[in-house]
Amino acid sequence: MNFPRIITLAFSWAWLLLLSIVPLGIILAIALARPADTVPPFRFAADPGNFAIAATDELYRAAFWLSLRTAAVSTAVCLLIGYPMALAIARAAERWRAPLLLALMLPFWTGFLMRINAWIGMLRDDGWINAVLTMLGFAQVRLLYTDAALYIGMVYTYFPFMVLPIYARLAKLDATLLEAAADLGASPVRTFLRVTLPLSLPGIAAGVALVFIPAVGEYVIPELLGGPGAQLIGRVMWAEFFENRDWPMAAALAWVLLMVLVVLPVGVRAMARTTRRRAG
Amino acid sequence: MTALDRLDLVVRRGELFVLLGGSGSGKTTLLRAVGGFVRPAAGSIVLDGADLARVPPHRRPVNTVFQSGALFPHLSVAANIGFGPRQRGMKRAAVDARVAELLALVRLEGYGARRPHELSGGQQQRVALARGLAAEPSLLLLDEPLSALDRGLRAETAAELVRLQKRLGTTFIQVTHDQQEALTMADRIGVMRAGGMAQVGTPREIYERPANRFVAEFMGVSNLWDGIVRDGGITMDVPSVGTVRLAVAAAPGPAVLGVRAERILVGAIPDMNQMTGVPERTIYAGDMVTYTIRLVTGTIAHAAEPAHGAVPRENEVTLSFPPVACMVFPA
Repeated sequence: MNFPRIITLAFSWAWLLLLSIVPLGIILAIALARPADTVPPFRFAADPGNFAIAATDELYRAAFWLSLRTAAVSTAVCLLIGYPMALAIARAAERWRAPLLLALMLPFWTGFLMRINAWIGMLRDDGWINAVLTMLGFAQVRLLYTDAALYIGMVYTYFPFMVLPIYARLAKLDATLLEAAADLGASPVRTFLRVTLPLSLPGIAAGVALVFIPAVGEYVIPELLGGPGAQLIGRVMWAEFFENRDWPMAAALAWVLLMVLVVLPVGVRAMARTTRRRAG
Repeated sequence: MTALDRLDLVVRRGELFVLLGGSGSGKTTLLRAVGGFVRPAAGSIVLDGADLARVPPHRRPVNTVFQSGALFPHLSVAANIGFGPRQRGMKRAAVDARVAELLALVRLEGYGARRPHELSGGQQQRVALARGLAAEPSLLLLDEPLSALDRGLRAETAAELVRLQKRLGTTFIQVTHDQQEALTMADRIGVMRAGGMAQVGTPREIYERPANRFVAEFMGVSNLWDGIVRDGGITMDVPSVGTVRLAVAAAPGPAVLGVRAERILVGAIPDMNQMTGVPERTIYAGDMVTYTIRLVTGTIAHAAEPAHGAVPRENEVTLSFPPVACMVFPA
């Protein structure tokens, strides 16, 4: 191994160690600690009790389920809107692609909280959407602090993360394959189902992961747009940490969430692999 | 821009027709128009009495073997070959039987479960051919099917293609830029130039009797000299050479004389047209040696002789060519 290579690898590992593994270790240590009236508010111990509560308590379990469900629905909506958009950009004339991608990413140039606050302005009872509705003679609808607002915020925020990997995949797709399918008698719909869709699956998988994983732990959007009932796990952790000052509980929840997000997909993949092998 | 213009071509049922041309000649556009991937602005494409010009590709009884192969990377070899029959509504068991039949036809038995990337270039090309033939098209289009193969494999695959085509009796239209490939494979050749047909004929006609200067040049006639055919039509005044006797009478007036390099012999041979010059360059190509000769008139002539037994030529030589080697084209 030559010197520059060692430097590069050492840098990557140091980065990973300092900013990922060490913090996770600290959180694990706090999760195993007991709360105390000190600063910081815990005393080191080896108490797995918090994990037992985090995994079994009704409130937490409900929060986990709600988070997974909300993230799943948001991911599905992102996919349903994002796939056609990615396809449209990939099939657009060469000179249109860069401007279209730029338009997709433009909102990122503004702060996230600014954009969420803009949504509050639009969704409020006396906001722009209701102003338009009343102008057209419809009754006012309640949007802000409802699940609708929560999903709008989630889909709006994570949407580009779905479109970009799918687009990258579709843009690389060899157009001759589509011609070959048509040549062999496949209608445009069948060409899509038998060629385009299967070949873009890796892009879909990447997009789903990029949207679903951060969406499960999302705190800001349910807090600012969602109703009081939207007790997602991110909000519950925040409450444990800052309101109850129960750092060990919050840390244990964080670890359980990590387990759910890492162990679940790995398990699903392993299962898919065995069934595929059995199917031959 | 018009890619194809004033083009009229009839391909006979069951023949292997080769469209030959350089890049930009329109040969690929013509093939794609027949396949349905480009729609002609005017004109018709008739197959078995039905005009296909407005029919989308998936409803044409025509299949294509693409230059790259264009095999579906996510499907097995068997699924690739079965794709056409399945799209045309064939039952699963029948598709399996048909796939097995085609794998045998292209000698790839036992490869059905593999993915395309697990095969060599030649094997992939054979799968592409099997896939094209699977739905029993009335017409198979082949876009430079041999260009991705290396030289040794090319001759073998070409022979294989011709053998298959003769056995199945399917009409093939093949595109190539390679004269040798066209001559060895085709029943008939259409030489294309600037979106039109420069000449249509059998390989022998195209090679031995090019219809014009362009086809002659494209088919490797390296000596082309301007001149005037005299009254009577059997002699031609060529300023660079002198007076040349022709074997076949040509129309009097300005014309172009064409002589293949390999028809020009080194040495003074009686009863032949003769000229003298000094060799400037010798190119050794294994089977043949080609000389570039500066004639006494200042013009360049090309002569070739078998490399076997050829002696070095450095001093002034006399070149001879028989009247039958003379081809005359309109100026």
